[in-house]
Amino acid sequence: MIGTTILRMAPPGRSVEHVMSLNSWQPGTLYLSGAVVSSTIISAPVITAIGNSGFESGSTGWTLGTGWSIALTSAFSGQYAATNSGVAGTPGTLENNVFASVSAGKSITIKCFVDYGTVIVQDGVFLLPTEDSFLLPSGTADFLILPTGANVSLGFRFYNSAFELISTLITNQDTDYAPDVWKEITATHIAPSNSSYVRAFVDTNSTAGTIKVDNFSWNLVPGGSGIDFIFKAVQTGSGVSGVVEPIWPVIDGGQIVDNEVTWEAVTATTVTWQADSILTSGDTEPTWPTVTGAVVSDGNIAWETVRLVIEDENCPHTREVAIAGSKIFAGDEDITRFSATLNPRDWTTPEDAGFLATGLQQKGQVGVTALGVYRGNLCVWNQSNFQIWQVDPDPSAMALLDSMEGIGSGHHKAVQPVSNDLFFLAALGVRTVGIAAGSTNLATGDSGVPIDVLVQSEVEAFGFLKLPTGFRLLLPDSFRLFLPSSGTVDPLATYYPSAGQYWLAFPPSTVSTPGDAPPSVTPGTPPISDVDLPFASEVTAWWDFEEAAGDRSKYYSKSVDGNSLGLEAFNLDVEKWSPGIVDDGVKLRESGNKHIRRSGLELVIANNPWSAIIWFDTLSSIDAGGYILSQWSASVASETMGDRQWRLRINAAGNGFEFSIITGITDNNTGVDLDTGDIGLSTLTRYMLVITHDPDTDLMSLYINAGTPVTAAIVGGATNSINISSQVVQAAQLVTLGFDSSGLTTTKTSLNVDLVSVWNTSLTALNIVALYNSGNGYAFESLPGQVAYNPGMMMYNRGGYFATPPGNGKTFAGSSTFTIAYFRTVEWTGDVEQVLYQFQGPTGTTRTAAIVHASDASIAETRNRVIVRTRNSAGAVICKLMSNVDVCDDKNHVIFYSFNGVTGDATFIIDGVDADETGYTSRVAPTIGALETGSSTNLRWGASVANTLQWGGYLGFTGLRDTYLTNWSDFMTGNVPKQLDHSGWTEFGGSPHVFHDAGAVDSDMHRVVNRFFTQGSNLPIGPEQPPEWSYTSIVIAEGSGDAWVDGDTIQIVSGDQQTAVLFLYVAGLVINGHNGFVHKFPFGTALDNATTRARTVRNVVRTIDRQSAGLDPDVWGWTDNGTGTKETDYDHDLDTGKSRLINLTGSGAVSVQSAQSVTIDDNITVLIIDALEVSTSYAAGPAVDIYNPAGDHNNVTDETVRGRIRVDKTQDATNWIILEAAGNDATTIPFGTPTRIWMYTDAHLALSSVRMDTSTRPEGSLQLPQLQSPKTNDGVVIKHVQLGNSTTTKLGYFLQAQLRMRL
Amino acid sequence: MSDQVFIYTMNQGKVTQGKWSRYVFPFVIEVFAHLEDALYLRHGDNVSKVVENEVADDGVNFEGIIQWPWLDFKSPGRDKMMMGFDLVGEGTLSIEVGYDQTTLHGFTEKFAITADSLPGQIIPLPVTAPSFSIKLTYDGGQAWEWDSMQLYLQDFHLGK
Repeated sequence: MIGTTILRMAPPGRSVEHVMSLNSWQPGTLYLSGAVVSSTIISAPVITAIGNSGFESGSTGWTLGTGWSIALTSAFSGQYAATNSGVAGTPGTLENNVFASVSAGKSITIKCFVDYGTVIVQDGVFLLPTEDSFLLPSGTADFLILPTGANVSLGFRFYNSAFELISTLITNQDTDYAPDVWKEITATHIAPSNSSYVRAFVDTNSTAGTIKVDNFSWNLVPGGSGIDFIFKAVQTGSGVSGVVEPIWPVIDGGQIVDNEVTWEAVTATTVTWQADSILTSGDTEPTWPTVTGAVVSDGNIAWETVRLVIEDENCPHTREVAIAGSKIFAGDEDITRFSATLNPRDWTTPEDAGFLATGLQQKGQVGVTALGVYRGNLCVWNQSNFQIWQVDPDPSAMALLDSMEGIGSGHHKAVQPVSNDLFFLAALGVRTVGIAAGSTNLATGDSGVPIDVLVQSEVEAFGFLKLPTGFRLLLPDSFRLFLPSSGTVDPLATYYPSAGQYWLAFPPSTVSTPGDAPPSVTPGTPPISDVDLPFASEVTAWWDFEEAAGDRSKYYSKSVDGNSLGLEAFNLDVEKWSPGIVDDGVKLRESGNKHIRRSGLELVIANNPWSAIIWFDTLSSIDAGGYILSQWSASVASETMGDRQWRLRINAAGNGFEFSIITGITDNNTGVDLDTGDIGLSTLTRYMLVITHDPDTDLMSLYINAGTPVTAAIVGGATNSINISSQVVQAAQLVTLGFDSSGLTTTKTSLNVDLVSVWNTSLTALNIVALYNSGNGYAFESLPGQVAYNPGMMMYNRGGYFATPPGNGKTFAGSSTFTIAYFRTVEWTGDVEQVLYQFQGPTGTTRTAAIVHASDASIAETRNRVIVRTRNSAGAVICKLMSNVDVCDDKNHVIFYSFNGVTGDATFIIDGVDADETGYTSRVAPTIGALETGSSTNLRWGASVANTLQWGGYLGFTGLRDTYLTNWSDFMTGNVPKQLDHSGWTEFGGSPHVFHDAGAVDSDMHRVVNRFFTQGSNLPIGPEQPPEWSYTSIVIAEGSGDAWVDGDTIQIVSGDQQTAVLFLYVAGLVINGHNGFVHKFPFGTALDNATTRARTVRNVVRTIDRQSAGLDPDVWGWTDNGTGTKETDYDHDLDTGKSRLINLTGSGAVSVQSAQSVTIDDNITVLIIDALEVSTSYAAGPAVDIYNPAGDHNNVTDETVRGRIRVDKTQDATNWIILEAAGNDATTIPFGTPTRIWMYTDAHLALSSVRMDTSTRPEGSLQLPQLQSPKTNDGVVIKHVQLGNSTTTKLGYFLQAQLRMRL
Repeated sequence: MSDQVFIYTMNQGKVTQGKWSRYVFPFVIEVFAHLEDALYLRHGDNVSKVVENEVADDGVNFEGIIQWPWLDFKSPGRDKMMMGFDLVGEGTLSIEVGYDQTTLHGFTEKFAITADSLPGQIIPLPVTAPSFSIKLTYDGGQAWEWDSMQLYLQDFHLGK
C-alpha cells in the first residue's frame, strides 16, 4: 500500500474538499519513473446502506420468514418496525434484500434495536457453535425439546459472486432483557473466503409473544472496485503523458500506456469524510425508560438508561472521598484511587484514572481513614500517618510532597477546611494541617489544644485490646500503643463561613466504617410505597363482592360532589369466584344472564375529577365487543345506552379495550373514544383497567395494568363538557357489569370480576401503580385514611344480657324512638327468636324492639331476617318492618331503626341500605301514634324484657334515644361504624339514654350473666377473642400435658361445639392440686392485665397465702374475733400440718378477720378460699364473710356483710355452699375433701361463688345474682374478710384454708 | 454520641487565634448542611437553622456560661484576697468564684449580680485563695453580652 490521502473536514453539510499531496493525472506532463497519480474522476467509497433499514418504507426490501411482518407499531423510531409474533418450534428469519459488495476477510459490524415485548425470555436456549449441527437419532419420537422462550440472533449471510449462499454467521444475543423496552444488539463477523456479497440477517426463535426489531445499520464499505486504485509510473526513465487521460486499469497490477508513460494500478487507501449532524435531540422529549439498559430514540441520539451508582469496578465506594485536580479521590485500603479527569464514572481508563500508592509511603498502619484538600494538595491520613500529595489532572504530574508519621486521623468527616487551613481530628484532639505539617508533631501549640481533654472524652479515642488469658503485652520503654477508635461516635465537622466558625459535633457512629466500603446497594425495582395509595375518602363507591352469594350489596360509599348512591342492590344473582383478586369475586357469564347491575347510582363525571377501576380475569375465550363496565341512562326495564353515558368494553376486534362516552342516543363514540388498539388481549389473563378524568385538562385516560395510558380529550371543550347525569332520568341510572347497549340479549361478556370502584379523584399514574400492587390489588380496608376504629364485639351467645333493673330504667318522653346497634350472628335452628334489644315503657309496652328469627322459623319469610317493632301506649303495633336481607350470615351489620309517632314515619337501614321489605306479609306500615312515656322503664340489650329470647351472637356499638333520626350515614364510614362523639353527641343530636361503642354496655345498664354455667350451657358474655386452648372437659385439659402460660385462655367447649366456658390460667394459683383456672368471663379484661395479675399474685404470696398454708392462724396477723375462751371454746392451731379454725365446745364462735381493706373500682375482685375442708362434725354457719362499710364508704364502724359463703348442714348428707342472698345456692361440696371456692365481686358488689370440685372437676358452676347496687364512681371498700363467724356460727373447722384476694 | 458541639470562632478579638466555645443542644446533631449563608442542623427527623438572635434551642432556653481557668495572677501558691469585682456587659447573670482548684465544688454560693457594675461601688466579694476561677452564668432566654471584668485583689505575700 502506498500513498496517503490527506483530507480536511468540511463544514457540516458540505462535501469533502480533497487536499491531496497525491496529484491527479495531468495531460502533457513529464512524469519520472515512480511518480504516482490518481484519476481525475476519482469518487470516494461510501458505506453501503441496508435497504429500508428502519422499515419506514413499509413491507419492502426484506425477505420475511416465518412469523415476521413489517407493520405500523410502536417502533424504536418512526412508525414501522419488523415484528415476529412467534411460531412454536419454527425459527423465523428476516433477511435484507440488498446484496452489498464485500471482500473476503473484511470485518463487518451490524447493529439494530430489539424489543422483546412481553415475551418471557429465558436462558434455556440450546446454543451450538456456529455452523455446527446437533444430530439426533432418526425416528419420529426423537425430538430435542427446548424450554419455551425466545432468542434473537443477528448476523450476516454471505454469498459468492454467483449469488450462492456460502455462509451464515450469526451471534446469539444476550437474553437478559426486561420486557417492553428497546435494547441495542450488535454482531461482528469477518467475511469468509470467496465472499462477494453480504446481506443483513436476523433469526428468531420465539415460541410466544411478539419480538420487534428496528433501525439496522452496519459499517460495511465495499472493497475491490477500481476506484480504490492509484497509478504509478513504471516506465524506465521519465516520460510525458498523453493529451487524453487513459482508461485506467481496474485490477491490481494492471498497466496502461499513456504516451511515454506506463501506469500500473496499485492499491490505495482512501477515506471519505462526510459531515453529519451528531447527537441532535428530537423536537419533543422522549418517554424515558425506567429499566436499566433500555434505550430510547431521540432525534439521532439513542439514550441508554444507566444506574446512578458508579458501576466501575475500580471505584472503591469508600466514604473517604475528596475532590481535587478535576478528579475524585477515594481511599481504598492501602492506596488512594482517583477517577478520570472530569469523568467521575470512569475509574479505569489508563493514564487518566489510577491510584496513589499511599500505603508505600509509610511504615505504620495502612488503610486510608481520612482525606482532605489543603491548598490544592491532597491530604491523606491513616490512623498513624499523614501525607500530602500534589495532585493534577494529569496523573503523571502527581507526586508525594510530604509524609509524616505520628500524625494520624481516623475521622474523615471531621476534616474541614477553615479559612486558609485544614482542620482535622486526631486522637489527641483538633489539629490543623498548617501547624502539624510545620511542627511534625501534634502535641502543642495548635488551635485545638485547649479542648483536647474535652474532645478526647467525647471521641473515646482509644479502643481496647483484648489479650488471651494469661497473655501480657510488653512495650519497650517510651513506647505507646495507639488503638483505633472504639467507634461509638462519628465526629462530624463543618465550617460556618458567615460566623467564621468551625463546628465539631459528635453524632453516633453510623454504618460506615473508616476505610471500609459502605454496605453495597442492591439495585432493584423500588418497592411500591403506600405513600402513593389514594385515600379511602376519595372512594365514591367500592364493591369487593365478598358475600358468598346473593346480591352483593355490600359496598363502601360516601356522598361526594352530588354523587349520592341509591339504595337498590345488584339485582341478579351470580356465582362466587374464589379466590378473586382480593378474597372473593363474582363470575359473570354470558349464559343465564349472570350479569350485575346497580341502579339508582349517579356517578357524575361532569367537570369533576373522576376515576373508575375494575379488575377481572379473562376466560378461555374473548367476547369481542363485550361490555365490561358501563353506565346507563334509561329505565331498568329496558336498558339502553343513552346520551352521555359511558362504557368500557372489549374492542370489536377482540384484541384490546375501548372506553367511550356516548353523546347521542345512537351508538357512537363522539364524546371520547379511548381505544388501546391491539394489545394482544389474552385469554386466562388478569387485567386492571382504570379510567380517569382530569377536569383541568378534560383529558380522559385508560390504563391497562398501570402501564402507559391511552389518553384523549373530551370533545366539546375544556370545561364542563360532559355531564353524565344532567340529561337523563336520575333515578334510573345504572352501573352495569357485563351488559351491552342492546340490553340483555347480545354481546355480553364473560369474565371473573372483582374490586370495582369509582373515585372522586383523578387518580395519578403513581396512584394507579400503587393500587395495581404488582397485580395483587388492595382491599378497601388497606387504603390509607381509614378510620382504624372498629367497635369491639361482645360475645353474648345467650349467656347473658344487659338490663336496667325493673322499675329502675330511664325516663322516656315523646313519641319518637331511635336505636342503633352493631351486631353479628350465625344462623340457628329451633324456631326460637332472639332479641337484639327491647325497650319498654313503664307499663310494659314496647317502644322499640329488634328480633331476629331462626333459619327454620315457622314463618318462612322471616327466616334469618330481623324484624323491628314499635307499639303505641295502648299496646297496639304501629310499626313492624322486616329486613329485606338475611342478617344471620356471620358478618357484621349495623341496624338503624327510628320511628316517629307524630308523623308516622320510620327509617330502617341496615349497612347503609334501606332494609324495609315492603312485601313482608305481616308488615305494619309506620302509623301515627303515641308511645308510652314516663320513668320506670325497662331496657334490655341482648334479651327480651322478660330476660328470655336471649341474643346468641355478638353485639357492640349500641345506642338508644327517644327522638327521630334519619342520619344513618353520620354513624358510619361506608358500612363501617365510626368512632362517635362522646361529648357533643353529634351523631345522636343529644345525649342518648344508653350507648356504648367499645364492645360493652356499661353505661347505666347492668350486666347480667346467666346462672349455673355448667357443661353444655351457654357461653358467658365476653370480648370477642379466640382462646389459646380448647378442650372438651377440664379433666381432658388437665391431662393434656400442654404447657399453658400464665394468662392463657382455656376454653372448655361442649361436645356439640355450641357452648363453652372460658377460664383464665393463672400460674400462681396452681397449688394444692388445683389447676390454676379462674373464670375468665364475665370478668372481662380485668383479669387479663398482666400487671394486675402479677401484683395480685405477689400480694397473695406476701400477705395471706404462704402464711395461711400450714401456719397456725394465730400468726396470720388477722384479728381474733372468736367468742368464748380461746383454747377452751375455740382454737386456732395446726392439724396434721394444716391451718385450722376449730370450735371446740359449740358454745362460742371462731373466726379471724383480715387486716386488709380493698378498694374496688371497676375491676373484679376474686377472693379464693383454697382447700376449704369442712368437717361433718359441726353445724352449719358462715364460712366467709365480706364486710363493707354501708353508706359512707369511709365509715368503718358501720359495717355490713356484703357477701357471704356459708356452710349449711341442714341437708343430711351434703354440705352446701350458699350465698347469703336468698336463692343463690351454689352446689355441693363433699365432706373431708379440700375444695377451692371463689367469690367474685365487682364495684356493684355483685357476688358470686364458684365451686371447683377437686375430684370430679366439673366445668365449674357459677352463679351471679342480678346486680343490686348502683354503680358508684369512686369504688367500694371491702373493709375486711372474715373467715368463720364470731357471733352466729357453730362452724366446725377449716383445714388447709388459704385466702387469696386479687384485684 | 453527645449533644455538645465544640465551636472554634475565628474572628474574635485582635489576636489571630480563635476561641473555642462549647454549645450544648437539646438534641444530638447528626448532619450539617449549608444553604446560602445559613447553617442547618439535622437532628432526628427535624432540621434546625442556626439563627443569630434566637435565644432558645428548639424551644429550650439555654444558659450561657463563662468560666476562667484557675488564675494565680503569676504568683502561684500565695494567697490573694479578692475584695470585689466589677463587670461590664448586658443581661442577667449570676457569679461564682472558685477558691479551691483541687475540687470542682470549691465555689462560692451563686448569686445574681447586675450586668454592668462600673457605676458606683464595686461588688464586694471577699475571697482568699491562691487561685481563683470566675464563673459567670447568664440566664437562658436572653441575648447577653460580656465585655470585661475587673477583680480587685490584695496579695497576702509578705511585704505586699
